[in-house]
Amino acid sequence: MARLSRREFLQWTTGGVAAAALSDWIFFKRILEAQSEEGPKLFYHACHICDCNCGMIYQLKNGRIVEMRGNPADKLGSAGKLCVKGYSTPRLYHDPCRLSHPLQRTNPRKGRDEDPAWKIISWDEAFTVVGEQFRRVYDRHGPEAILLFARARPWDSHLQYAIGTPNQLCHVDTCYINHEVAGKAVSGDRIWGWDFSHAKYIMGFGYDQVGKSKNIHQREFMEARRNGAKIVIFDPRLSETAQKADLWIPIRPGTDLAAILAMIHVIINEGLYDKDFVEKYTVGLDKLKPHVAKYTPQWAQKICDVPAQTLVQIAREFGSTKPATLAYHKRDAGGPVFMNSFQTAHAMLVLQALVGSLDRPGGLYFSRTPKIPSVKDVYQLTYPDLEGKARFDDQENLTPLAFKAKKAGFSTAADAILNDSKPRVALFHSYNTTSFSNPQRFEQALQKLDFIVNVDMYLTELGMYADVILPENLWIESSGFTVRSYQAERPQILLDEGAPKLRDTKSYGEIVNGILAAMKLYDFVVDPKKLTGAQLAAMGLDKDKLRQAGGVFDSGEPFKPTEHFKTPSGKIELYSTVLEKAGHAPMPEWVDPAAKPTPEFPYYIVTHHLPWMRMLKNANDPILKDLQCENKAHIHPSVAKKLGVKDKDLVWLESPVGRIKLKVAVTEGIRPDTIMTEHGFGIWAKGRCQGFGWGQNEGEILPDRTLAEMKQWKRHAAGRGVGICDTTVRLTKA
Amino acid sequence: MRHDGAPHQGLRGLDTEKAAELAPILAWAKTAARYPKTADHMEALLEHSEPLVHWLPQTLPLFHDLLAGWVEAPETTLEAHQVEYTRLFVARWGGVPAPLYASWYLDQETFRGDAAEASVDFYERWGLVWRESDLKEPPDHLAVELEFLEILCRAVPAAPGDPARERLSPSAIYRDFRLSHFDRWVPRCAATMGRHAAQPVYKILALSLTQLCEED
Repeated sequence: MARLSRREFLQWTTGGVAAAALSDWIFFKRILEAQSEEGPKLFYHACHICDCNCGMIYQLKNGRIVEMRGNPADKLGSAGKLCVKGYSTPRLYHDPCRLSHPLQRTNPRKGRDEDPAWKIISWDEAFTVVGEQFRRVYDRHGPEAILLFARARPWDSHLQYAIGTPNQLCHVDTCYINHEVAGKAVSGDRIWGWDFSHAKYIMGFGYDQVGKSKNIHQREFMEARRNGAKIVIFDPRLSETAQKADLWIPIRPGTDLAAILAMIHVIINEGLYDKDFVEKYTVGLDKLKPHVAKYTPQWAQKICDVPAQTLVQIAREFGSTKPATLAYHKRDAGGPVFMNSFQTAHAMLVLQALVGSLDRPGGLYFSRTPKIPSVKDVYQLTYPDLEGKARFDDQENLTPLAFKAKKAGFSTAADAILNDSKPRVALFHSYNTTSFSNPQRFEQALQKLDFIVNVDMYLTELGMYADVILPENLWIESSGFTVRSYQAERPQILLDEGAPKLRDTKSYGEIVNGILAAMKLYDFVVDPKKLTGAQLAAMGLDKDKLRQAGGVFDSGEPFKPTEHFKTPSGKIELYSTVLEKAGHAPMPEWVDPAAKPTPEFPYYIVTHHLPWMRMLKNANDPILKDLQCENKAHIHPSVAKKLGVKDKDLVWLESPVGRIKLKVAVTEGIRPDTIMTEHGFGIWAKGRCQGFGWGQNEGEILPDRTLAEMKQWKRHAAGRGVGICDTTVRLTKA
Repeated sequence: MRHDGAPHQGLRGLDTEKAAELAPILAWAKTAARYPKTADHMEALLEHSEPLVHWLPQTLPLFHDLLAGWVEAPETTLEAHQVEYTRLFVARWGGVPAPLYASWYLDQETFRGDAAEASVDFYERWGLVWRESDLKEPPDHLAVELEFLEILCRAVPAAPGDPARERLSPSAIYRDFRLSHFDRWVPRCAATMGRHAAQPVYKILALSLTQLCEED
């Protein structure tokens, strides 16, 4: 176009284009009467950063959180104190990096070095785009072609069942799936309570919830310490929990199973098990006894590098002290860390049953949660039948218990997508590529999908591969209630009073129903706001009653130990018929982990996450970041000497999967054959302005799993755990 | 303090003539500081450009560019501005260079911090309540603050008011708001915006904000 003169330009711009007047008031209205000064208002909420769900009280003034503290009425949870993560909530609420609007990609090329060139779109536009893409795939390729990466929470499950896809993938196989599957198979329920304060002897294998700042665990653990309980921690490194123990045993990584089997052997052989409990509440001792005969302390010593005499002594103490309990949870040795970890989780449960402290005071117990009507019940929905529909990542039904207990699937997600033409589109709810081991491979898999929608609070690494991003409320902006599940020795409900939304975000219930409406699945579109009221009413509660009770409903029911267990026999099955029927080992048995040190990769690798980190939820908190802004390679002095490095020198940490560059931290508190680094760093998406660029993502050197490996591990990996640390590494000076 | 670090030389009083000159400029800038959702939005920016071009002639070539793009390919031009707005102010791979709210600059990169409360106090002094718009701009958002200044300019009376109530006059509130709040962050925002902007609207907005803060 030829350049216009000033006169021509002005003629054009005043030439009758029907544009709106610019002087209309958009942001203001007149104060018609005197405004009374708004005083601070007090609200109740449960913290949703971790599963402790600590009750909190916060004050709002003029739309700002001006104070936050633990709720003293939450006796089983925060008991008036929050952890460092909970106290970061106001900074999350006012975090400028949180997503504020739905975004759509305008650059079709995807990759770590591609700018998605986002533009803001309205919620209506966003739902239309997502709905059209999902509906097209639904009609042409069937609901199975839609992958949902989401937890098994009410609205996640509603979306899955309404669409009718079996392919929901959840992070639990990088988290607590082994303990959950073992718990349900052997005892019929999940272990979700830890009565350490009444225990006289506590033993953990890689257990470090104290170091992870889990409020409930910390309080219980320290109370046990004050009450004089003996505490023994097996861990290749001197964790924060181990530092507070009476005995730290630096066991060889991946061999905790051998130590536990040997202790079971000692306790049975020496008749130290709780005979009354075992006789009344368990079955299968007759099969277990000959099965563990070969697992002697001398046999275990060679495997786990712990003297046989130490194992015998601890087994005797553990078997003869009452109450004695194991401390276990999530990513400990029975978690997803080694390919034999399901066997470890299984062995832990058997040992706990033998000493008679399974669902008993001073031991581990099942959650007592209130009965709450589901989304399906409240709205009287009939979902499509998913029975018999094979998952795309488990066509041979290798791990049915894992998928029945929770959705699992992260361990093999990349492999399954790369080797299957069925998946076309995916929704990710609050999951990131950094949630996956070997994220580079997972990112290759994402490139294969036609369309990705990401529901999150931040612009994450996953967002860099998304086509549409839907910004979700921060949890404190949502109202409703929270069921106490951790440490729920009796039913409890916590009131959630949402703070005003600061941005153009929506609750996940609104998002799910917006997508379903856009997909024209009208039979399943419901008003999410009605759910809370209906569920509370079913319990004889409402928000006012909860508020009057200080934000907490406490049933006050006394703890009743389980008499009838939800297994086929009604008892704890030391020989698990459930596992056997599913094609897994019915009793815990020794199996080597997948990887062993080699001359090329001579060290074990273990990971840890810092007390102020939880799934990167508060990775953008500037104050928390300043506590430790990067992860390090923690190595033994002998390794440092051999390599010629000292504190803060840079090293390459390399595995068959990849390599990362870290600073060295030399410590006596780790085995010479093991290297530890922290999880939760290496953010590259730059959407978290504070968290970006610090440290390295240790996932880059950790393996994912193939479907072929799952087949090999059918007998032993019932939990489908990814075996996060089941690799070996080498260290070179950078 | 000016954006280049030089001390602020004070602020001229807001007389009727000055207020009348600034009001349409502030209205234009307010519109430019909002997300360009529709073609109407872009056309409004073009149609109401005359006062700005008179006030700041160096914006004329940029308006030419804008008009050229608009006449040739309106949809492409609109989307380019949408992407640029998102990239500069809202969400960007690599971090947002120039967030459009005061708390980012005055409260250690916070959203709805003390600066937002300070803005609300000023609005109340003039008998106004901030209300949330469909785009959910916070009370200390540039567009909101520009609208407030525009309202004050349009309220400047032709004749001097009661000296006893001078403190609550639009001119006094305008001066206070500019000195104690607006001019403490907008020059920095405008400078960053100017460095990173590629599309004409945001280059013009950066220039006009800089001019607004410097001419006094």
